[in-house]
Amino acid sequence: MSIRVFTDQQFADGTTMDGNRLEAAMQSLEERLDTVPDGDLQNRWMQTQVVSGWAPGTIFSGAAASAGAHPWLRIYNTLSDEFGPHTETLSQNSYRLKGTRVEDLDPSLYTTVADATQYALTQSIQLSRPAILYAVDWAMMQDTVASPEYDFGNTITTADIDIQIAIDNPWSPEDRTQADMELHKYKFDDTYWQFTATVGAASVDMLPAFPGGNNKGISVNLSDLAIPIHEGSRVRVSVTVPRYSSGTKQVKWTDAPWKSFCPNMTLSLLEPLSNA
Amino acid sequence: MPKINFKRLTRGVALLREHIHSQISSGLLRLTNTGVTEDNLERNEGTFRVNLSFPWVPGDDQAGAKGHGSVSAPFTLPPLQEFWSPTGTPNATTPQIVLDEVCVSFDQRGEGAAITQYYSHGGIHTEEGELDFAATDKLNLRLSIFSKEMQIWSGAAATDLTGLEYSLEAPGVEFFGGEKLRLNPMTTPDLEKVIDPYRTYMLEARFTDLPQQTAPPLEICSLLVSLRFRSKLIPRDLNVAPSVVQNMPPHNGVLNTSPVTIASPGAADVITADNATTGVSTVMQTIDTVFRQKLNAGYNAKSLRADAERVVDNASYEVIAVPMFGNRYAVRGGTSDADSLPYTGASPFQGETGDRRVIPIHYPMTVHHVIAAVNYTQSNSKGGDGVIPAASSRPSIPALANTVGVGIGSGLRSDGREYRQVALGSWTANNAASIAALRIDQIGANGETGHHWDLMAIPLTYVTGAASSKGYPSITTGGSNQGHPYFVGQTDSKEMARSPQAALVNGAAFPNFGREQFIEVRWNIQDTAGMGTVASYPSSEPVVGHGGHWVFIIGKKHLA
Repeated sequence: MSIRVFTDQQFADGTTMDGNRLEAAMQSLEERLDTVPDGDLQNRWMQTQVVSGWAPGTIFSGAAASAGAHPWLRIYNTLSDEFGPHTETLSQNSYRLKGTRVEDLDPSLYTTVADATQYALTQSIQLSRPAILYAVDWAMMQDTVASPEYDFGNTITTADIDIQIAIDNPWSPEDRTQADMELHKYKFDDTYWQFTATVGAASVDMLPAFPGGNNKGISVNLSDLAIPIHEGSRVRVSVTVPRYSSGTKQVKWTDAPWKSFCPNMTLSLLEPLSNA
Repeated sequence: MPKINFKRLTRGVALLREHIHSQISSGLLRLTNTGVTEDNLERNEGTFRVNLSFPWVPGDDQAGAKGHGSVSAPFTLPPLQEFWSPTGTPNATTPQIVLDEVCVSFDQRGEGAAITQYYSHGGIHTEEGELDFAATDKLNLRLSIFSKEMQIWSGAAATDLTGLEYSLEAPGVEFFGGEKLRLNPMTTPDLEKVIDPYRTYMLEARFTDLPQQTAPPLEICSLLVSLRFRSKLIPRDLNVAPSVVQNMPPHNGVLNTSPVTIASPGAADVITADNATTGVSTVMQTIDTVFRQKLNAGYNAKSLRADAERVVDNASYEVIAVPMFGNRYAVRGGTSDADSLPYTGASPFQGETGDRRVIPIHYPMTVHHVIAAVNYTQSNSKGGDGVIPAASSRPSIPALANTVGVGIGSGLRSDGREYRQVALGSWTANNAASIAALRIDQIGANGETGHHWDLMAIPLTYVTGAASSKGYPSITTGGSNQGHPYFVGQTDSKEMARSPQAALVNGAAFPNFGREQFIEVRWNIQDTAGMGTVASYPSSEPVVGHGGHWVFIIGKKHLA
């Protein structure tokens, strides 16, 4: 048995070293040099980034101040949040996200749009080949100009943003209780995750100058995650924010928390090399 | 690189060093000196994705009438600068790009249901975002990729999409209404569709029956269409004459080789197995060790070259698709729609609005092209029938100025906020020359129904006198030209020194930066006379079309 990776032939003093064996070894080497196996490469992944974000619509003519939550959707599925004349809930997944509970909020008590609850933004992607989840970056950009369009109502610290990445169970893909949580960032004080602690003008800015002012807001940057994602995975990335109905937290997040910041999300994956 | 073709060792010939040592030497030369090329790799293609994130597809329009239930995004995948043809003609050396797979998904709150939309016209807004289990038959999806010849190459003014490259019909009840399994997300693999790098493509996601329900209307949230392509591995960019890379770290991208050699016996020496320097087993162990240690190549997250690089083709095509101004109805000029845009102020909305995306840099890339897609599509449908976007026209009378910038910055979860400019372009609606200096294609003619877009080439910055002249003719001959590829990557202190770059297109050399943490994309729009001024916008010409604008950052990424 050879100790070589490219051939089974082993040559040593005291053994035969005939042309057949040498030729077999050299042919193995030739084949390996002509078509280097994927496994011989130390680095065989490349990054891809899914970028999403928008500047939320400011008050649109005729719309209520708290309207326009899209694409943020309430996290608790219940009869009172279902449209139609039916009298028993049709929802399968009351809680479609795991571990999102925060203080002073119970989304299961939701009955009307004015109630305290939580809203989630969920993007999903199916990866037909294995991948590595390398990073997720979530920024809530806010303004520094007078009369800002996007800002919190006060500066208190709260711990009510939830970021999670889950993969559907392959045997029960629509049962969210069976989903595998791959990453969960929760109950963190948001002021410790500011975009910058020294909000101010750039020493050298780019063009065009941004009309909302300087960089400010929350930026949660989770990188070097190295989470393997299996072939065929259905990956769901969710960010949850609160909507309070009273108190200083309500002042901070307002009745329309989705309008208090400009979302920027980047999901960074490493995908393997391919061939035709 | 061709097959290595070793000399055959046939029975009866004398065993010479040419049969063993010379061949192993040539193998080592390939592995450890010149580097392995893509045609000698089992998997020789990199994959990249055009990820199109549409936050919202409404079923109705601003007035509460039927919308058209669709969104679109045009894109093009031009050759990288070193493969550029000034006549827009692919040739044998142009790397082929193949569409491999399409994935589509949207948010259904984890249920087999449609989602209701806010409406203030005859309904109550408390019904926003509710689950409508009876309306999955309104989620029928038609996903299409169209193509057309690009105006900048054809010289013609054709705006019609003439080719259908991909189409998927997904019945809503069967695909998205199931209790035990919903195909959301859903992937269609093995498409094997070859892409023409000089054509324009447009993805359209059309929920054909979404607008047919009006009380409450329906909406699609967090729609993501991910197009996965593959393309052959290529060498990374070198900042070694005659090649130029802007903002390049001191290593200049040169392959970081560490040659390994063997000793050969003399011509008359007996070839043995275990000789400590020239034995067959010894030299085989030498090359075997190279394989055993794995073949290294590429950049790490700090833009450092791998040690002892063995693969010369260690880069591949890359696209970062950046959505701008999405998640709103079309903003029509001459109306009050502009109050949905930030910073525009009160009517007639004379303030400058802007959107920005911050994209953290994790692995380095070189930027070769930047393309902006300008959307003029209406939210309302032709005749209110809920099928085709209503007629629209590009603004031509107002002094409506668009400015698109791509920069790299620092100060993310840190101090030291500073930027450098990678690309910059601007045009004004009533200044035809400013448009002609950037525009490369149009989809949809003025006054027609359907999706309306312009594609603009946003030039890379460069130091005066150092243009690359490799880009669309609108900018290289009609405009201000564009710069050579621009390196973008985090580095350690010792790699902070960078090759020359400028803050402007055709500008003076600007001091080094070398500590970028993120890419920032900005898009500002302003009409100093007011976007709501009726006289300037005679036919409700969109300032921002339905679904928003896009910026595509196109370049080269590396093995990681």
